[in-house]
Amino acid sequence: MGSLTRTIKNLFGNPGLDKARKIPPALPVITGPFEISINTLSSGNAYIGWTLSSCSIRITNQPQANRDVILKNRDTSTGGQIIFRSAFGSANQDTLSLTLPGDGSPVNFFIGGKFGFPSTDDQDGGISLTDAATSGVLHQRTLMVRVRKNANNLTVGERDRFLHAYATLNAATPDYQVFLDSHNAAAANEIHHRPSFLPWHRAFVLSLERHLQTIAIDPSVTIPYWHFDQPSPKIFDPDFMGGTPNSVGRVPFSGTNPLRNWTIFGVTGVTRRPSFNTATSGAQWDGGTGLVAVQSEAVTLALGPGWAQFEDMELDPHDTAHTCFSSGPLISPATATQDPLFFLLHSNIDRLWAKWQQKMNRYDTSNTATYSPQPAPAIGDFLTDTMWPWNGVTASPRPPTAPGGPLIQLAFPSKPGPTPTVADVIDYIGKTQGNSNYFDYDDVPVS
Amino acid sequence: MPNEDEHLESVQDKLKARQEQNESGLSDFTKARNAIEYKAALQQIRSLSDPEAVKKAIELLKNKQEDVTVRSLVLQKALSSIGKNLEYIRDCLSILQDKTDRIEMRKGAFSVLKVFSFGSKLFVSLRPEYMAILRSLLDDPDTNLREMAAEELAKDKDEFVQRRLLDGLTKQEAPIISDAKAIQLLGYDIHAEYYPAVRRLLQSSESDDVTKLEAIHVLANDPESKQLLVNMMLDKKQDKELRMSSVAAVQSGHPRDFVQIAKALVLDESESTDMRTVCLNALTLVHPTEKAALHEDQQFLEKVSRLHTLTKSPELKRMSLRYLESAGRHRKQ
Repeated sequence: MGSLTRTIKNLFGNPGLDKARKIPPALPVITGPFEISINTLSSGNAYIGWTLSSCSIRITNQPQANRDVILKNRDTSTGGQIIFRSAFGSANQDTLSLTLPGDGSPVNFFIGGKFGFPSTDDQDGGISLTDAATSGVLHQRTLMVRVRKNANNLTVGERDRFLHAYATLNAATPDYQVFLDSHNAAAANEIHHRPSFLPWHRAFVLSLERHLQTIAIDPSVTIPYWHFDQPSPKIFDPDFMGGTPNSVGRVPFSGTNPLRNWTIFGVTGVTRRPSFNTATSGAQWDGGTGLVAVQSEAVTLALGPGWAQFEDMELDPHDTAHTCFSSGPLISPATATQDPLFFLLHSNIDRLWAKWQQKMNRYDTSNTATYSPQPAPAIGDFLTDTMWPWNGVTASPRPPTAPGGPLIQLAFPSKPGPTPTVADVIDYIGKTQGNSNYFDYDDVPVS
Repeated sequence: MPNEDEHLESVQDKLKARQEQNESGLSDFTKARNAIEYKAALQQIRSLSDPEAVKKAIELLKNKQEDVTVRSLVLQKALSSIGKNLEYIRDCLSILQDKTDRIEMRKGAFSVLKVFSFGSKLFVSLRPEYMAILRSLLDDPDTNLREMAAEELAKDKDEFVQRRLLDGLTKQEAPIISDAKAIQLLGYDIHAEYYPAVRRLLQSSESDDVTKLEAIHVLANDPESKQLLVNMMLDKKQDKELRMSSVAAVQSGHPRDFVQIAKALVLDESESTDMRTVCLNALTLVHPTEKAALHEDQQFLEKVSRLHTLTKSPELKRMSLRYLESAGRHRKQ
């Protein structure tokens, strides 16, 4: 049995604070003379999704005899759960038996989040290394199974962590400014009504998410999605994206909601007036004599058989979801990112694409049914084109400025690269090893 | 509970039924001759795409004598086809600006034009025409249309509407929309020249709270409003929401001063829990330039920790914990 390392959330050596929080001590993380690397990283907090992450394990107090071990979930009753694979293409297993060489050589394997069992708190999942003969726990490594979730179903903790991260980014004005300047009037022709609409917005949502996940903010958050064809009363609430607006569309926030401090170009607060009853209805736009529902998920997913038909979803449900409000920045392309709801809307747009890809098996970029820049492609639509603004290109026909610089990279090799191409974001689940973008949706499996 | 295959089959069956319904509706629409028949047919159709049927539908749309529900259904069902045809989009523009047409049709046309502003490549070429029509709507008899037109123009930083809004606020001409909405729309392109008028409205006893609230939100960056906003924040006799909104405005516009004021307010036990909560909230989000000094204040941290232990207010308890966690995370970096 390895030595016991107690890990307690204790900010200032204040036992009174812990007692006040009524949080029981975290399960001790057992450490022994072993090293588990996840996505090449042997230390620090680990974050995975459904898509496979490459791992390795080795003995660190070599030389010694070879060791027969079993890898399993740290706690199967709670927290994010994982599956194991001995090789990239092998079957999922709940446990994995390995023999660790006594000379300290690493043994490779893969893990992925177990579909349907994501984490709700940071590092609530993990790997336990047990002795094959005695079942004694030899070593552990915590991790989080981190996926994008339905915003209406978040726990209070998940919701508040996301809001705090989002508002923190907004408060660091130059950083959020990038997202305003990348989706303004000058960018309109670059990012809308063209084949690369979906790939560009996938990279855009990922860019915001990676900003939120930097160590300075909160690596445990993802961008949740607004499932806009369903009633979402918890989203349109003073504790989340704002409650029922007043007569001029000003949405109220509760005293504890970080979005109270949302500021855009020196103007505080958020305005947004839904055309529909947010408590009882999915999104609807005003059709004149009555409200019209945005295109449902089922109908959207039935678009096909290929890309040429699916990309019509830009009009409905994307454009219609934006314009199911009668007032507020969200309804105009030049101002849409001024409303924090923008990224939840686009997380859902991207999720619909992801779900369609999974349903139709559309990850192979050599197949025009997966993606096609036709019939009238422009620069930025071709698979090998790098995407503005991350490519820094400002020569016509690109927009005149390219805010923000390259796309934030993960701490290990991954896609998309710092100047993402259209192709980089299509096989986002890494069907081909090495392609993974390392984000996932709670209701979109990867197999 | 059906398994995944059964669910998929059920969805596919529903979609097939919908497709058949669409085809049946299209056939009925082709044969329809009166409003009752048009309505019944269009209600079955999910999306009208057959070119001849769309052509017929557009004629119904343009006919002001036609039943308004039929015309509205055409807008809804032929949305995609309209967005791909320059002439059909122009027809929508004509409806929008036609003061003699039914208001529901004009608003319906406005809705679809906003949809196209996102996703129709053809709409881009009609944008100047669209903006000119919006300017003409600023004098429309319908309040909603005036407001929606003003908002679209304001988002585009249109100087014509900015001038009209400001003239309305300063009573140099009859306002086209309420003062509160005018202030809000001027906020899309806030200039120093608007500040004096907005400041006057915030200080005026004749302004209602809705107007004052909008004024607070846009005055955050006005140096001459700083004391006004601070006074509002500290005035316990002021309306609760106005005070709480002033907190964000002072925090955003004057972060250094805000930190000292907010810390004192948080620790003031005679202050309302709402204000103490909102101030702590804003303190967790101060600008990075102020964060280091704030989080080094060990005395304040200990007082917030004690506040967390002793307060009976769930909001204040939650907020003080978040503040401590935020400070702890920052100190670890």
